Amino acid sequence: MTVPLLHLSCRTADEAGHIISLLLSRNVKPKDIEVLSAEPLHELGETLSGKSRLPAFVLAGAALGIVAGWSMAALTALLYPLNTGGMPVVAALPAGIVTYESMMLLAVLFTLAGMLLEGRLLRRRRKEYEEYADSIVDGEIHIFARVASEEESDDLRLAVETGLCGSET
Amino acid sequence: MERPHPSNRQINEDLLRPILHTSWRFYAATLLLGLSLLAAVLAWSYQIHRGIGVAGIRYPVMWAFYITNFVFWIGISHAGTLISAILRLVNAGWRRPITRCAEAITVFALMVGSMFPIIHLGRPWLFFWLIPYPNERLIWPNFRSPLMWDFMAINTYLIGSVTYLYLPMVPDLAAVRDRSRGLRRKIYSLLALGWQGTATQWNRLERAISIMAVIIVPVAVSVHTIVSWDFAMTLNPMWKSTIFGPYFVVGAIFSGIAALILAMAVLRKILRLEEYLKPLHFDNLGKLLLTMSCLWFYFTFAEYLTVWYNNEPHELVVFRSKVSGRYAPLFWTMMAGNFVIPMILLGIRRLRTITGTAIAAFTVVVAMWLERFLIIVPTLAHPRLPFVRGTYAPTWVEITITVGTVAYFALLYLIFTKLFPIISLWELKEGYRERRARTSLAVPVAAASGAGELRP
Repeated sequence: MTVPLLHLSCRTADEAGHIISLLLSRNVKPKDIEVLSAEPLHELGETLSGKSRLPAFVLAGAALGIVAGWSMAALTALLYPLNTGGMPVVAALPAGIVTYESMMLLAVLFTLAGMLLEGRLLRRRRKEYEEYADSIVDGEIHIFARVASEEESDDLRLAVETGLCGSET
Repeated sequence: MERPHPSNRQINEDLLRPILHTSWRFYAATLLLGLSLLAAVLAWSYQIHRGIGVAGIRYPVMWAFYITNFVFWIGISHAGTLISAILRLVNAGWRRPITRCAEAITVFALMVGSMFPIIHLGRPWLFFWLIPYPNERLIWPNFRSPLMWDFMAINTYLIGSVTYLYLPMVPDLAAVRDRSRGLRRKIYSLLALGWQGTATQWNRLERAISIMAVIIVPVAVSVHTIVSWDFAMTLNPMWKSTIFGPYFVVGAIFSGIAALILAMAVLRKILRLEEYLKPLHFDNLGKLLLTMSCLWFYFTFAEYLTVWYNNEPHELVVFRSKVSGRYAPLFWTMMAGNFVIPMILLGIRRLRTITGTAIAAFTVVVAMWLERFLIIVPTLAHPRLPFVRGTYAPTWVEITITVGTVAYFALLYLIFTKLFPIISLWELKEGYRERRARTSLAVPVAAASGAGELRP
């Protein structure tokens, strides 16, 4: 059995905010609500997207970069222990510079990977998106909500149609 | 009265026009720049075929035009990512139309700049020996060498800058995808990574951009600091300096802002972006350029004063060759271009117009190239042992390669503006929305469908 999908559209972030608040107040779960827009709606982002784990990705990348950079600089120096100018074979400062760059490089790459994974990119787009892509680019905000039944969908649409937005399913 | 902001549809039409429609001017410019690049490739091929001797570098002046270009372009690369990241971090609203122009400069300047150490090599086909990989020679690169730090830093900065350019571009690539058909649509679909614009995607994108902005600033600072250490780690006169790191970073940001202003002035004219790149942006960047000019002068003064005051004979020979000797015309041109002209054009409010700012930016770009040249060549021409003094004059090979790489940079930039929106659509729309919310202005929209219109 297919889950009924309520589709609403509006033009401003305020309107979208009101609709989302209404849907949440009617016990629609955040994970069942999808908002598609051409620009970020900061007010809704935190509510609907859940906690981000991006900082963990960055820290993991940086930690791995430190280990990789230090290993590369220090262990290869030990592999060929050439003592030049009375300086130590494993010189902390030069190895530190290599470590720093390696840390930054892996932090960047892990941020990108985290963004791709957390943002659920590299996946097929929803069919609904294809249908409304043009209007989204032009500024319309489309809200989809998975609801329990057609009756609930009608109820919610009616509640929303108190003057805020145009709606369609 | 403030003019109404353009609607979302208007923004899409204005900024996607250069991508969806191509004029003959684009092909003409591509041809012209392509020919210049071809001339540079032929000159380089000639150098590879005949040997590095066809360049003007002679012992003891073994670094000259190529390394000047390397330092210059790496400096220019500080235009974008660093400026864009700082403006993002301080949430400067006026940054929105300029960030992508700036970020693209960084990527292409790095691509051009990083070519020069390879061009400078006698056997450029062995450049991969710099890459740390387990190899049949059983020797790894020397990580204690500043040249190796350069390699690490520039690669990190290039990868970071490409990522920092690409991430904010994903929603705009999706917009191009949704506005195009056929093969173009397929290509942009791949580039847009399946972007839909869900709340989660926006949230994660903004977080990723913020994180990248925090990461990229110290990377950018480290890159030019390390480039300065290529010189400062030696004992050569007027190179061994503790302030070379910050001096180079300041110079890099200075020349970077100038390059950004120049690029914006050209784009504004060619792509008819007057609605988006406004006098305010040039005024703000002009003030920033003026500040950097003062800072650059302060560092230059500090550097030259200490050398003169120390009265160390080897240092003074180099100092005099710059200030009153063979290189004096270049030195005083540099001072005029980097300090005197910007002071006049940017310090006097009436002159700080778009044209005035662009002229000041042009003189800064030229003068900063001279500054790099004056750091490198006079020192090498006057080493500590007086019997090996030398001179340097560039050959046609070096001049052709230098001019050709400028054309290469312009060509890359031109192609970029053809393939991608040079102004971030979504950031611009977001900015207008925030401003509308602040001023509570209801703005009419030209579009018949009324998309993007604020309802009462």
